[in-house]
Amino acid sequence: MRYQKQICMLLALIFAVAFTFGCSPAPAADTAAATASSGTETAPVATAAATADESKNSGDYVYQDLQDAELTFYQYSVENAEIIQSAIDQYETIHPNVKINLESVGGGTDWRTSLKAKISSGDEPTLIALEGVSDFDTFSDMLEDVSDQPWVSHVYDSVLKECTIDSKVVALPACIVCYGLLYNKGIFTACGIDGETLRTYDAIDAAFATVQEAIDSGKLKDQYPDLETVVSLPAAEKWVLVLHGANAALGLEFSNGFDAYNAKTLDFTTAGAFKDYIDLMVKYSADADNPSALNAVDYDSAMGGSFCIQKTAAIQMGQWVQPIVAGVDETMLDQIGVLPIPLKGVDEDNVCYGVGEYFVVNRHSTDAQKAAAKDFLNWFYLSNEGKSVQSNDLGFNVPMDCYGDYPVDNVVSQACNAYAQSGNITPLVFGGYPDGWQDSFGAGIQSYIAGEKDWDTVIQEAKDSWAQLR
Amino acid sequence: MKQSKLVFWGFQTPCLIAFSLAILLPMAMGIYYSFTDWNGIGSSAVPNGLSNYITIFTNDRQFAYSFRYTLVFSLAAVLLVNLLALGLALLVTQKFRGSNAFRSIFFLPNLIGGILVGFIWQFIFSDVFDGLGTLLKIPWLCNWLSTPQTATAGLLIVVVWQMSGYMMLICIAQIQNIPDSLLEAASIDGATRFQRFWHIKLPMLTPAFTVGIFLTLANCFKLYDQNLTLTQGGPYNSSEMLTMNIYNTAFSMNKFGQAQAKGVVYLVVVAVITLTQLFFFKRREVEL
Repeated sequence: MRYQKQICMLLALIFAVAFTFGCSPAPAADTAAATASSGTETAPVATAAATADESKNSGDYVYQDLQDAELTFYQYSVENAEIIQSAIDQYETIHPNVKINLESVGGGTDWRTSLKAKISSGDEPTLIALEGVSDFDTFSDMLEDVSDQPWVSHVYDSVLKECTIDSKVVALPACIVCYGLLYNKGIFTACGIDGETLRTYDAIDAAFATVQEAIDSGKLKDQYPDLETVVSLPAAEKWVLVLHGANAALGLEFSNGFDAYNAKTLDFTTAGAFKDYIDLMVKYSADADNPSALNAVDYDSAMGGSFCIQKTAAIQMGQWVQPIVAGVDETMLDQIGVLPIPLKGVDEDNVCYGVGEYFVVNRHSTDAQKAAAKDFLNWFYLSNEGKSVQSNDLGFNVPMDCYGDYPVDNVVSQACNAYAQSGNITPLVFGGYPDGWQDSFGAGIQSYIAGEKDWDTVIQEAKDSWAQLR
Repeated sequence: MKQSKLVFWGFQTPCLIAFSLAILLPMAMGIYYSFTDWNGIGSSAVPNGLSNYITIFTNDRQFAYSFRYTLVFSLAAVLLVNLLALGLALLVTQKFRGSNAFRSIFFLPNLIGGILVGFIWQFIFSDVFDGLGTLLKIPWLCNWLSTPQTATAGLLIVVVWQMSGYMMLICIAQIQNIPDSLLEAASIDGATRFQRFWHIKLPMLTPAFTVGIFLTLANCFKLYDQNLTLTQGGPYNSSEMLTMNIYNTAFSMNKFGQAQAKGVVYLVVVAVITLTQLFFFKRREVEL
C-alpha cells in the first residue's frame, strides 16, 4: 500500500514536470531567438563588405548593407503571389541575409479580417498591403513614417496626398487600380459593333442586345461555340457589387477616399443610376429569368469559368485579371477592351481609376526588420529589375515619374490610361467606406437581385447602416 | 492522509493551470471587453457600461435573425443526426457480410475537416446538382446555394452527413453493451422484433442519446467552417449563423466589444440549453 502511494507520487511529479516544460516552449524559443539575433547583430558587418557595394546599384536604387532580418510580407492579390515571390527571390540574392516570407490572403477570402485576426494573435507582419484610407485609420497604431525614403520624391503629387497623414508619408502607393466593363472585342466585332464607340448607357444597352440576339439566333455558333450570354455577373462577390460597383456611383458623390471616410451620412444621389446599371448587368446575364441564381455565381466561375473561355462577352473587372486571362488563354489578352461603367444620366463614359493598393511598414517590428522592409520597397520600385517586374510581370501602373522606360504591360491599364488622358475617370473612394458596410449593402443588393426587397428599401438600409457604422 | 492530498494536487494542478489559462482567463477578459467599446486593434478600450448589450438586443436585426436561425437549425440537425445515427447503428449491428466496411464508410465523413467538407459540397451543390438538373430538366436541382431555403437545406445535409457517422459509433457501442440474455429472454417470452426494439433496446440506448444529443447540440451551435465554405452566410446573409455573425461583428465591423457581448449572451444560452438537456436525459437513463 505504502509502495503504491510512492509510485503515485512519483507519477504525479513526472506529470507535473513534463507539463510545466511541455507547456512552456514559447519562452524557451524566445530566448533562443534572442540569443541568435543578439549574436547576429554584431556579426553581419564583418561578413559583408563594410562599405556599400556600388555594383549592386540599379536604376534609381542605391544599395545599402542591411542587418540580418526575417520578415513577413502580407498582401492580398493572390493572383500575383508567384510574381511577387520571384521578385523576392531576386532581392534575396542581392541581400542574402534578409529573408522575406510572402503571405498572400485574398481572392474569395476577406484579407482584412484575416489580417486583423493575425494581429490579435500577436503575429504581426512587417510589410503590409492596405487598400485605402480607412485602413490607415484602423491600423493607425502600426504605420511607420516613411517620409525620408528615396521613392517619395518620385511619386506624383496628387497621389502623394493620399499617402500622407499629418504631413507624414506613411504609405507607398503600390499601383493604380482601374476597372470598367471588360468586353471581348472579337465577339463584338463579329456582331458588327465597334466597342470604341460605346460611350453611353443606351449605346451599351443596344450593343448588348445585339450580341444577345446574335447568340440566340445561333449566328456566332461556329466562331464561338461556348458563348451563352453577354454578361458575367458574379453577384456572390460583395466586393464586385459594392466595393467596385457602388464606387462607380459614389465616386461621383465624393471627390476622394478621405471625403467618403469623413462623411457621417450618405446622400446617395446617384442611387437611381446605380440601379439602372445593376439592372443592365442582370438583364444580359445567364440567369436573367431567375436572377436569384446570380447570387451563387462567384469570381472563379464568372471569370475563369465564363469570360476567359468565351462563354460570356463582358464582365465588370479591372487590370488585376491579366494573369488569370493569360493563364487560361494568352491570345485572349489581345481581345480585351474596356467599356465605361455607364451611370445613366449622371456620367456615362467613366472608368474607375485611382491608387488601389498601398504598402506600409509596421512600426512595431524590430529596427532590422523595418530597415529591410524599407530597402525592399526601394528596390522593388526603383531598381531596373523591380521596375521591370512592376510594369511587365505585374502589369502595375505605378504612379511614379521614373517609369518612362518601363511602360505598363497590361491591356486593361493601357485602355484605362486612355480614359484617364481624356479625363473620363471616377476616383476610387471605396477605401473610405465604413467597415462592414460592404457586407450589409452587398446583402442588400443581393436581395434586390433576388427580388426579395425593392431598391428604395435597399438604399434606405444602406444609408442607415452607413450612419450606424460610422 | 497528507500524502494522498499531495497526490491529489499533484495530478490536479497541471490541469487547473491549463484550464485557467486556456478557458477561464480568456472568458474573464471577454466578459470585461463586452463592457467596453474596444475595436479589437487599438490600445484604447473605454468602458461603456451596458450599451453593447442594449445595442445587440434592440438595434441589431441580423443578430436576432442569426440567433433564431441557429436555434432552429440546431434543433433540426439534432433530430436528423440522431435519428439517422440510430438507423445506421441498428443497420450495421445486424449480422451480415461487410457490416464492418459499412461502419467505416458511414464514419468516414467525420474524418474530413469541416472546411474541406464545405468545399466538396459546394462543388456538389453548385456544379453536380446543377449539371444533373440541366441534363435531366429537373429545375429544383439547380441553384441550390442561391435561395435561402435550399441553402439551409444544403447546410443541413452537409452537417447531417458529417456528424451522423460519429453518433452512429456511439450508438453501436451502446447496442453492443446490451446483454444478449435480455433480448433472448424477451424473444422466449414471445416479444416481437419491434417490441424488443421499443422496450429493451431503446431504453438501454438512452445513455447514447444523452451523449449524442449533447454533442450534436454543442457542435451545431459552434458550427462555423461548413457555414463559411458552403454558403459564406449567403445568399444575402440569410444563412449567417451566430458564430459567423459574432466573427463578422468583431473582425469586419471592428466592433469587438459588441461581438464579445454577443459571445457572452450566446455562452449563457448554450450553457442553459445543454445543461437542461443533460439533466433530463440523465434522469431517464436505465441502470442495469
